[in-house]
Amino acid sequence: MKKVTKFLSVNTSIPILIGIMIIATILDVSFMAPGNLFNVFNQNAIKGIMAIGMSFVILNGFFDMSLCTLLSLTAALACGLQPKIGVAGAVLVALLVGLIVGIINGLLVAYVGINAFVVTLALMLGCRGFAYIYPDEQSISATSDAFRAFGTGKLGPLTYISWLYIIGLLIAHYVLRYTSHGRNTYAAGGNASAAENAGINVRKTIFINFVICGVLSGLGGILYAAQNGASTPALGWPDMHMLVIAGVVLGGSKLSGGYGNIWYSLIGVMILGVVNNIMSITNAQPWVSTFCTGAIMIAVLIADKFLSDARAKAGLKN
Amino acid sequence: MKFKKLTTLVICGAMALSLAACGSGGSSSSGSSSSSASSSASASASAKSEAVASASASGAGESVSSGSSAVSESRPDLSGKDLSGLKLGMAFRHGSNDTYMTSYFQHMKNYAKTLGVDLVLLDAVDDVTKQTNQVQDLIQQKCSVIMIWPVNSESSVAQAKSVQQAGIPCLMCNSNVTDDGVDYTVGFVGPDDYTEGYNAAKQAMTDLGSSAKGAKILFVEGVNGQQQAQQRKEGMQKAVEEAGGKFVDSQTSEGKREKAQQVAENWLVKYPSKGDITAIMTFDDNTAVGVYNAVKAAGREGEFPIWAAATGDYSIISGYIKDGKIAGASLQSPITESETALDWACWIGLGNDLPSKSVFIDTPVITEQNFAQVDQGNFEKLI
Repeated sequence: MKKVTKFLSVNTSIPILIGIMIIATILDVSFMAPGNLFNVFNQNAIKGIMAIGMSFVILNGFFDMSLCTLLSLTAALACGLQPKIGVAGAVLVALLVGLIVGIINGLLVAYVGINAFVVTLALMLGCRGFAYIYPDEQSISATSDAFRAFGTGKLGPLTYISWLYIIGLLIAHYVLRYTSHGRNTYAAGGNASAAENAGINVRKTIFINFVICGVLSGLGGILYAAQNGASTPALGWPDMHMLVIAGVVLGGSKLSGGYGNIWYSLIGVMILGVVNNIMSITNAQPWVSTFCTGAIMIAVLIADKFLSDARAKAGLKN
Repeated sequence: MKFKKLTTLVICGAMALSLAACGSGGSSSSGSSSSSASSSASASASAKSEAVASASASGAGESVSSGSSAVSESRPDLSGKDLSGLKLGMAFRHGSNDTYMTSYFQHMKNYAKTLGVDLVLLDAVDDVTKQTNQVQDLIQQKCSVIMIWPVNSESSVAQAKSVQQAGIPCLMCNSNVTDDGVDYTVGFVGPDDYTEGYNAAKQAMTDLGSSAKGAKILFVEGVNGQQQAQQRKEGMQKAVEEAGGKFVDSQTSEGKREKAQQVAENWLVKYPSKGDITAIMTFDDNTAVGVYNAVKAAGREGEFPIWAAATGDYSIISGYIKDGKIAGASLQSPITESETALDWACWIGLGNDLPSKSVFIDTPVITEQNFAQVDQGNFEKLI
């Protein structure tokens, strides 16, 4: 029992997720149907993949605003280039664009020393412009059947994208926990000066994390294009980056950096997904969902504040 | 310490309760019974007669006939049908984007209550990813029929396909899926945008009389790339060219009244003399008001007519078309459209088919002259 208490005091978002699921079941018993639970996971897998990238940046003490428009740009490239260079080439180019945006973000923040908010905001605007210029303000349908089939196909109860998300979670967990880059990320996020003094290359760590976030944001756009069978310039606009950041923070990772893990992000994204799902089931207006997300975030932060003593006693677990 | 934990629990509980309260508050589905179903059937029957009456409406002077080979705007006869077992779902584009969508969204909820049918109406607020998720939610809820007013016609192909794969009929509303997705749907209910533009422009050219030949028309476009705006433009252009006129200038308004006003102001400077402009046409009523404001400010009111391809805002119909400030437009009523869509969804839910792959609502041309004769779209039902 003590172990359970200790576990829950460290992972405050788990009791909140369970509480919301219980309320959802009371509101509509069909919520707990296995089909619906898998549905919630499938629906939020792409957001989860982008949250993995955002987790690296947030653990490092930063955040990336460019995600919401980068994904619409890569979605447009992934669809628009298919007739010219084939589906593999189109996906590679789109990923490359995600990589380049991540490199620009990383260079400007880590090596030039410009504030991350300003840098990623500028990239957000730049990508938004390109996301409209490239497709000439039009939606573009994906021409490859394989591409569309990947977006909607299933293996068991989970979509291919969900399986990709699970693989991504495992890799991210390994990197954060068992590699020097992961440990450097926590150290740099917790106290950059101390990390620097300890011989950690903080700039390189920040740079790599922005690149990871750029690539996974770009991948998110490609996956949305596959799932929808088309790209649209407004994809992700205006708040996808905020939802992804909210997912990471809801899970329990600290915006100030140095504390959290990839499973927190999974739980945070699923909390958002469950709230949206129950709003659909109960036929509520979308703004009610937005309000509830805000209310839950406040609840999480209050819970985190009050349980900080318990967490200190249990020791930090990343 | 215990007190802190207790406080935390209480706060979390309160937040959770607020979630529960909000979640149940927005439900528009009504408890259905056979008595409510039968009363709704009569409501439907009267609505049907109204819709049929509107079909006889015509423009001023010489009337124009429909340029479409579409199926008529008729609605199914639901009288005596038990609708209580139906659960209909709709993934809606945006419930508060503009007057038309708001009216459609609100009236569909009301009309579902009148019919006594359980309607799950989800608002995607113009977010294509949200709409894709909502379609999955509706599938999970095992709706009898799923209606989609798509955020994006291309993306709705995958949505319609997933609905069909779940064995649920998918009915497209207002805007159709692109051609490669039509086979995944049971059909489409909504306006024929091309015909709206064609009929309005044809009436405009008829009213111009001898000035129609060689007419210099300025056209205010909608949002670039938007299917609806493009089809209305094509319809208007076709009618203008058939009558011997041509579009001498065409610029985008980005769908905004203010932008349309700017465009018109520039034109009034560019074409300063009487006779330089035969008429200004716009893709919708909102932008036509912007053009009217510019013309009035320039003191050139009455020099040439302003026509809109379509109108669905009663404040514009009663405030501008009735007085002749805007010469006319095809009247597209959100009331008629939402009722027609829901009627056909019920019809399909009862195991029937649409009479055709596309069922177009009636959109008669309304002008100052025929204002009293045209069915004005039952806007009073919005109250």
